[in-house]
Amino acid sequence: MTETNHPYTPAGDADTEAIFHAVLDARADEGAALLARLCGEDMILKARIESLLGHDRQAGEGFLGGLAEDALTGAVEGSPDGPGSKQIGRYRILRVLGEGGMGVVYEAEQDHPRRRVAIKLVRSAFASRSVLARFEREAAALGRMRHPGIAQIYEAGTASDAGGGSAPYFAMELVEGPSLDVFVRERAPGVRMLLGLVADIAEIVQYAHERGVVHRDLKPANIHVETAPDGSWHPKVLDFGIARIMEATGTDTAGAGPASLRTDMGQLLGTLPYMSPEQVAGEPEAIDARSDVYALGVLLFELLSGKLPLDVRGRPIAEAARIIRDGDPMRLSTIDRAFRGDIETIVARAMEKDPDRRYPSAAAMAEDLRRHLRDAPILARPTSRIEQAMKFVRRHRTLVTAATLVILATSTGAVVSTGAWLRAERERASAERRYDIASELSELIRRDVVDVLNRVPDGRAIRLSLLRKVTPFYEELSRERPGDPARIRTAWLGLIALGRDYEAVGEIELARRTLEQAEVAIRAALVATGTGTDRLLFQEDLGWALLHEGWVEHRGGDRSVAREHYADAIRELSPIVAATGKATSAGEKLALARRRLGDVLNDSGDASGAEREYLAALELDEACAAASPTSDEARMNVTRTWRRLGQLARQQGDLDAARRWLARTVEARDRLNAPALPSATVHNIAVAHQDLGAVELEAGAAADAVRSLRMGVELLERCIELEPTDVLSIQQLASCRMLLSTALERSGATDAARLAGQAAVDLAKSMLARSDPSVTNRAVAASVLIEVSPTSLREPAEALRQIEQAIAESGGEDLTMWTTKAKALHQLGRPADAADAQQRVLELLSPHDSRRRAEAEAQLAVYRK
Amino acid sequence: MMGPKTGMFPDVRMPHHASEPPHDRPVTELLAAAARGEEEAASRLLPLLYGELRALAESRLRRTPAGNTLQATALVHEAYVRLVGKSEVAYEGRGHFFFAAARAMHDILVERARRRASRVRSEATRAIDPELLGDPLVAPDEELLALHQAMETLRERDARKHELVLLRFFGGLEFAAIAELLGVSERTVMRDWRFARAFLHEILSGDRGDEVTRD
Repeated sequence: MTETNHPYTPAGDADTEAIFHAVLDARADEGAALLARLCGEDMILKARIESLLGHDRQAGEGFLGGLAEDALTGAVEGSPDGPGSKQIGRYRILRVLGEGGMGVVYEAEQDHPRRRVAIKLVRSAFASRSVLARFEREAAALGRMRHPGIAQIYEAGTASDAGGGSAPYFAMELVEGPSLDVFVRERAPGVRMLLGLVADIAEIVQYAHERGVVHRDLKPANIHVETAPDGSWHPKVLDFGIARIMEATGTDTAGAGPASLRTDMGQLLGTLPYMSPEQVAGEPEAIDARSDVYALGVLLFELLSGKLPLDVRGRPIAEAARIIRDGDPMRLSTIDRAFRGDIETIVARAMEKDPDRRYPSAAAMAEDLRRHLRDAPILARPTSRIEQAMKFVRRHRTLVTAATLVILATSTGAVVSTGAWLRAERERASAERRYDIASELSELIRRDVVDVLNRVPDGRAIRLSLLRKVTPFYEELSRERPGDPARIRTAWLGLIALGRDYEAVGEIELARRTLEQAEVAIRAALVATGTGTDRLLFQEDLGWALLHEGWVEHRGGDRSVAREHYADAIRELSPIVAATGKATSAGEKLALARRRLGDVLNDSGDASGAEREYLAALELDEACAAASPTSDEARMNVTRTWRRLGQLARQQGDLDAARRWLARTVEARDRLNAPALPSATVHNIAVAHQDLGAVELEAGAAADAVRSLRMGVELLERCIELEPTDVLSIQQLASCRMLLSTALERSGATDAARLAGQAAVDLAKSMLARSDPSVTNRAVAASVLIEVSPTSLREPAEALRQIEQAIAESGGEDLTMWTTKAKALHQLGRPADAADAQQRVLELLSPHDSRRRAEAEAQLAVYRK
Repeated sequence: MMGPKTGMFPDVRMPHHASEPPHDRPVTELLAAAARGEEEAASRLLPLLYGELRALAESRLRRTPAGNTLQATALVHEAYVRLVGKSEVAYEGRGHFFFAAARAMHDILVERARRRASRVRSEATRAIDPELLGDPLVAPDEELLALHQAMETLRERDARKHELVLLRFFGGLEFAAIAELLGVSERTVMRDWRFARAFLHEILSGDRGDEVTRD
């Protein structure tokens, strides 16, 4: 009982630990006897260890992230004869061979046929039955590969664990020999031997390729060398095709993005040097047999020279990936002149960046190796200078694609000069110059072309496809790290603008992703930035990104998340405003953040919180407007806050105050009214009229309301004419027409009311016709369908369906939606259900919002009656 | 009226950048310096990581849809990629990073649990369930604080096992990587882990009573 490999003295009891392990290592039926023997007379020690052993057994698989051997799965079951003898499927576990990124490998025993096998238990959280089925199917396909050089896969299965989860495993041939790297180190085979060995490996790989299986993870650790009785060496390749199954069945953590972000660093570090450029680029569809040829080239280089052709070890992953994509590999002859000629050429050919230029197959590479061994001329030839020049162009695909986009841009009418780019290319411009040009191009395309397309009817598809095309450029730019802060900012500011554009065309998910990327880039830069102006700038950008993220959630998702985004934005921006003053760009942003936070608060029933934010915003807005009296935008911002205060007053039942605020807003905005206004401004003028009209309607001034609402409808129609994909204006128009129909009816214009009502319903229906209408689309359409006039046009059943969907998708905390739902239920003649929904409205209203509570309670009483 | 989606850190949202002490050396440089043995650099890594990890944890938890688990491993690695992913840092710098990251993760989570526990007085104390300690990011406050206590007991007995638990549970590192960091074999790490687990499980289950000492 000597446990000597602890180079430290445990402060506790060394015996306890040693005996604990001794009993665990012993066979199950011998454990108790061993414990008794080792503890001798010491009953306290025995009790102590028994307790620990008990807890070792009791501790569930998940405790502290799991036991090593159990690797987060409970698939290794204790068999009935106690601990120490464990089972996966029909295999009895003997010992752990190793733990890798994918899971744990055990040596295990099988009874029929009686043999030792290797069990690879996959650490994963497989999603569904169908994924598991696919896993087993694919593994079965791998099992059909029979080759003495391939470690045979006997079986793939899934063991279910106690928690109801599933842990897939492979049972495969247990390979005896050392791995290739160990083998070469220990046996030091000569060059000819090595070339022969690699040719063998290439032929084995070819066998699999012919059966449609690409290895994807060839490296010395995955190749073992067995020595036959006659002393000959036979390579055996492990894990064929497993990498792909892992990716295909979702073991790779989805959403982690490109391979370079995979969480499994340890494994990645071991694999990276052998990964081909197409693999590190994260293009799974580009990976084929030639990716394995690349790995074979790296392998050959490493075996011959003891070095890697591209120095990527110990580098950060992103850096390593860049080197693999763009770096020129070391020439074999610089390490040993003996490799000049054929061998160097074979390696270089296998390692070409462009798969088309590599050996077309592993067999072709094997063939060249064999030709060299028998002194026949090899078929590969050294790369020519022209080809090398071509490489440059290929590697800078980004710019080449950008050029293609420029041509597209030109053809759609934007004025673009490619001269700068061409000149730069000719001069092989510096990295920074290229960066500038790429960002300029991206900006140009995003701004000009997309804006032009806004004005084209049905431009949404083209606009979206262009946005999608330009997104990778910004992503790429945001990954670059130029030292100059102005440059680094272009990338994330571009991403933010893109996020906004995506939101504007209704692509919530893309918007969310793009903005999150911007946020990540800024946060990363902030961490690496000291104090000073840059930091303030970056912080302001962060606030800007958060503001947009909040907006996206506010419009298309979860309001409570939106609220937090806005609050975050305020936290980032406030210190800047405190340091630099209110009448600054940061002040403007802070005002916006406060206004929007106010909106969210108001939507969730906190009227006093909303008022507080609005008043704070107004103070900032007024400071900005006073500082730049000629700025339309600054004036507009003041009116934005006025308008909200007006809406708030209206909710609180103070219709006079509401009309005052809103009339002020309309008046100020009408002053902006000029023929060439951008559609966003027109929209803002329109909603001011609409708001005023709504209050007038409520106050019983139907004639005034008709006038205001007509103005609103007219202006909104103009917006949509200018920008047919403008979701916001479309929604606004639907409710404006709906209000107009009611105002017309109340003023006695029945026919006109019916026309306006029908138009509102038609528009609402068209908003729902999209394959996946957004939450706001559903909510607006639902309210139109129950409030339109005349009542014969109403469709409460459809409204109910839509509003329930909207509630489900938005997290269910929006009281306007619940109000709509209650109304719809009431119209459907289900007063009890309506009362329940209305009850929910009351729950959502803040206890301090007495005015709205009273209103809601009155409504509830109506439903209960 | 907090809905389930409000996020898991509703009450400890501090402006992390503002609260950080101003620093002028970027992380990469600090890591390199720490690798060269500059004590001061290593000690300054922690606050940096603290801020970054907290920001990450918060933003992720807020946006991770219910049902998707979020692993500490992923966060630490993500922080790594963000903080050092782009620049050249000697391989040796990684060790300092993961140590610091695991410690930062531990501190952040324990501190947060403490703060919440002090504010929310639960009416009845329930028994600690060790099995809820599967992932540090989603473990309940009570369990996390109990684990922290138990780990302190472990630290008194055996500092290396304490570090091992930090690295494994809070840092999410693999055994091979831990072995490299602690400078022992992987087998030793796995044995230590098994013992530490049983030891902690025992304390957490309330089975241990007073420390049993031998004369």
